[in-house]
Amino acid sequence: MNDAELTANIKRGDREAARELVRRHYASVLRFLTMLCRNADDADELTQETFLRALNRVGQFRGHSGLRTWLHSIAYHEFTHRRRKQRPESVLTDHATSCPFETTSALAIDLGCALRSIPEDARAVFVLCDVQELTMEEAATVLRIPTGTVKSRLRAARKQLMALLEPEQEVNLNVSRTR
Amino acid sequence: MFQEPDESNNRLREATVAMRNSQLQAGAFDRGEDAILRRFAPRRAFRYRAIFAAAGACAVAIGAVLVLTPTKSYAAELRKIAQNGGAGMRHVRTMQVQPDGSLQLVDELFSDGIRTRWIMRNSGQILWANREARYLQADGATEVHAQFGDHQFVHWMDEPANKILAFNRVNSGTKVIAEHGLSEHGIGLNGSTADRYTIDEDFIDGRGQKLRSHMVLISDSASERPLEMRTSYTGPPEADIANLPPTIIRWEYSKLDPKVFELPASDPTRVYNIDDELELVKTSLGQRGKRVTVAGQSVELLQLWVDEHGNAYAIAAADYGYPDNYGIAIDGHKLEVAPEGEPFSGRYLVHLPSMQMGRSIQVFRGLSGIRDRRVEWPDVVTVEIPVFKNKALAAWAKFDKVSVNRAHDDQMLLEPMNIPFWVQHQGAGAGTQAAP
Repeated sequence: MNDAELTANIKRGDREAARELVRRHYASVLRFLTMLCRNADDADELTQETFLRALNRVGQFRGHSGLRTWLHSIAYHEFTHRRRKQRPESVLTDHATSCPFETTSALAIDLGCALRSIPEDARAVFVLCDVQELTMEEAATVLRIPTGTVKSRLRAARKQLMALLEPEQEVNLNVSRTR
Repeated sequence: MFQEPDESNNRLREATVAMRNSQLQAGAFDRGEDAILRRFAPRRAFRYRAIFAAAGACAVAIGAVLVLTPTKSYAAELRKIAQNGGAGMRHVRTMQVQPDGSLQLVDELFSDGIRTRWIMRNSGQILWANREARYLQADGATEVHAQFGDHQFVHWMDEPANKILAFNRVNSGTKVIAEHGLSEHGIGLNGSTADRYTIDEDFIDGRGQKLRSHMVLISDSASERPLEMRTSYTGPPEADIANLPPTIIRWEYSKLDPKVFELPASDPTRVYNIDDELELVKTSLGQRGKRVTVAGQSVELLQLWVDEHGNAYAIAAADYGYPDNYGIAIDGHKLEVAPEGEPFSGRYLVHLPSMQMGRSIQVFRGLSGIRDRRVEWPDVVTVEIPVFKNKALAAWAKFDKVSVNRAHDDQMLLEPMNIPFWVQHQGAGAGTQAAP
């Protein structure tokens, strides 16, 4: 079932089609929001809100972008909406909450830590382009910014992350320490 | 795939690919899917109503065909029953069938849809109410988990309903036979009839054994609520199913006495808030502590946790491993179960530090070896941490006037899977290794 058939069936009230949409994209959306929120509970909640919004407004999906891009757009909107609505300290907690994804790679864990310390704009672009493998045009659609901005932010994000991942630089990670 | 401009180095590429390949934890998807679909109410477009009305004339004929068709899917019916079994006022008992045919109560759950109390035969009980979960351990200590959400708790706790849902998944090895409107033995509620679903599923268990589960689920026809579920397992003669005894789960829906939602009194001095404790630990990982440098090694003590059995765990920023037979010392008392010596001989596991918030963090254990009585350390103690260099004990880093944090059980708090909880997602064994 392609994206068009899937959304058409959801519009008709087909719960199995809704289930299929969630099955296909849940992990991807949750990963994106986990990287943005830095808090597993917030990410989990926003992922649910993203899918509910998508399922209830599937009629608004015109197919101009892929379904995955559309879902990431909703997820990013939910994230920014939540951030504006609540006090920053109650949303973007910096605690090392348990990540819903499992990996045996120490490098991946280090990257997760490093991502926490770079600016949110750069983080969002890096996660979309390099982790989620969206094109720059798709990332620009999700973030509602020009493709050129995506490109420059991606370059900056990679530069910062490379520095942070260098073993001798690890002590310089700037992550909410209380001195 | 790395897009141009590609100024990434190999380390970043490797880390990104590893992050991309990380897997969603088991159960996380099911919880999310269930939460989303439970709240999703499809809205049919008006233009389809006429079609449904026209099709209604054919419904009786189609229904008759479905009744006679053994391949009919009962997924929706079972899902509904599972949802009803996990909602509203209920008393659910799970019993194991013993070899002599008698029933042994394994656990018992009371819920009025707002509060839930779950009593486990051997391992204590949990009461959830007012967004707070309290866990009374079998030894009488109360641990408080304060940050559970409504939906998360209710569904997480309702194992029987989840079990039905597990059978409800699309599985080519599952066969369902449904009998509707049964009235024998008065098994429905309030004179209603009952429905019986027989669900057989072939599956391969974790040890690779080909087994078959046989489940009989009886539900009330009118309310679509579960009444009883019997599950048994069979397999070839050589199969070991000793750990899969037949079970019976029974639901009752009578009004519950409010007293069932009261936990027995516990010693107020033994109340521990696990969520607060975990937050304290997480916060400490990013904070600075007292630093001592001896034998060229720097040790920065971040927190000290002691528990009711005299164990003590020091969380420190240090970048060396240490063998299992070396523990920390509190007020001059060395805490180690195994004798010191042979530090890296291969006989003992080596505890490795992990990177957290940009620093190398190590948990130094001190085990009292005492399980049968309570031990209480003073509020302020002196801590000594072994320092290893070049695979040999080089010195002890001493910290005076250290305030203790108290937990019921240090290991359950910090290393429930034998590695620090903050590195669990690295996989089992990530925090330890056999000595080189």
